[in-house]
Amino acid sequence: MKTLALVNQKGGCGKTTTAVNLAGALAARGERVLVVDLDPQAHATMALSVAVERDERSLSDVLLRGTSLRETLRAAPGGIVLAPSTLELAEFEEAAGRTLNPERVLAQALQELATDFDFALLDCPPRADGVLTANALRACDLLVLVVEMGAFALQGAFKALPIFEELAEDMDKRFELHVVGTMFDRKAELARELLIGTQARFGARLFDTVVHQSSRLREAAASGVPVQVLDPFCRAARDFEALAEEVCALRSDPALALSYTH
Amino acid sequence: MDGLALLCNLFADGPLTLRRLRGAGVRRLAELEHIEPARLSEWLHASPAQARDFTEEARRLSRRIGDEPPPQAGSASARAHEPSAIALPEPPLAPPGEPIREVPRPTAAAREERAPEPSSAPLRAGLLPGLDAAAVASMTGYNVRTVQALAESAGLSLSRRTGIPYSSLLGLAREARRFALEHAVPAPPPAPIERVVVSATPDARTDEFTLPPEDPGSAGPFG
Repeated sequence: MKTLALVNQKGGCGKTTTAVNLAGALAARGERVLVVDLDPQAHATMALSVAVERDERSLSDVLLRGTSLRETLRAAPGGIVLAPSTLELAEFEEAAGRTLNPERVLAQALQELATDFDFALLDCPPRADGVLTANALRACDLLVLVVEMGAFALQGAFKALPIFEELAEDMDKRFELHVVGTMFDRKAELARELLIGTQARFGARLFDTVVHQSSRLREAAASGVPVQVLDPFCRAARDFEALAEEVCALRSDPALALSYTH
Repeated sequence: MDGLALLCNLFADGPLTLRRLRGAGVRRLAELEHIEPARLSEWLHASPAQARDFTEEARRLSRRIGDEPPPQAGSASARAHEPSAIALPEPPLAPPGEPIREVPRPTAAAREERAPEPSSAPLRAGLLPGLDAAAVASMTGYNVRTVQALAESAGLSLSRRTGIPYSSLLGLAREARRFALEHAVPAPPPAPIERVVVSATPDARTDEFTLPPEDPGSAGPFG
């Protein structure tokens, strides 16, 4: 199983949208995909129309009470499997102070599912220095920085990078960084300039695919399904199909495969 | 993302165009400058005019970013490319109704000196399959008077102005291109140019590149 963490310091840049729809595109290619909602706001859980009732398990049970991750898994639209989140997950930040190696809990929990899935996508909260993101960094093979092609986004991404580098150093762990541009509007001069600047900064680490701004993505989130289920032939579905192809190609890249061991 | 992928994202639909170009053996941005527009148009399923525009954008982008292998993040060359993206020098798009770009056009004198080409044959009902008198009248009102002009101008904005359904207009443009190819003569030497300011809105700029969404497999590069 290859684990991708979708991160950024900034909220609203498309992390959840990318996690859910990339998962949908990977699943449409026949990959077995797990989405782990690490955000206490539970947006990925809602975007996949999963509701966690009082007596049902969620990711907070895994992190706070040591429940098996397998017990939390829920079937979601588009052939995705979801480890859902609830607001209770926010308590993990506080509980982490009383826990030994709190940043290792998710990585250990994922180990039992290592042969059950081809990909695990970790949808992180919009805070790079929290213990939830630290769990994602510890568990992931590939760090995907989600950068919105809008004002201040690139500066936010630059600010997040040192935090991730510091965390990686603390953990004595190496991971691959890739960048995906989102909410790209080709008609907007600013977006085009930002894309040129992002390409100049990240070069080969920037995915060839840029996710375009799309009303279909908003409709899919509101409908609780990945866009591949809502409209498999729309522009957004094609964007994520191309992104999934690139992610799958990375899996077979020997250079990247080396960095997967940690 | 290399320069070629950047170009495809900035001036075409991104992944589909990139796949077509790489499938045709294009590896670098600079290579596009040396490809015949007709061949590029065939690869991209686009009109010759769109292919020429695409080549021109490739040339500009290649000069701007340098067509070198993409720098690795954190490398010295990457840091050298790090100036603020917002500060990069490009004029902003003009507001709707304002002139936004200049397009070189042959002077009137040069046009007169050129040998008449069959593709510049005036549009008339029945010249192309599906071309009726009403369509000719509509397009003439918007300065689309020849087969060549029809082949190059067909787009969403012309469809909106003339009221001709978009798909019908694309069909007519396809027939016009076919007609032009069948009656092609060697191109005359380049004519002196004058600068003509073309008024266009930002929407019109991209609408011209929009192809029908119902068949993504065969849609053009700018869909």
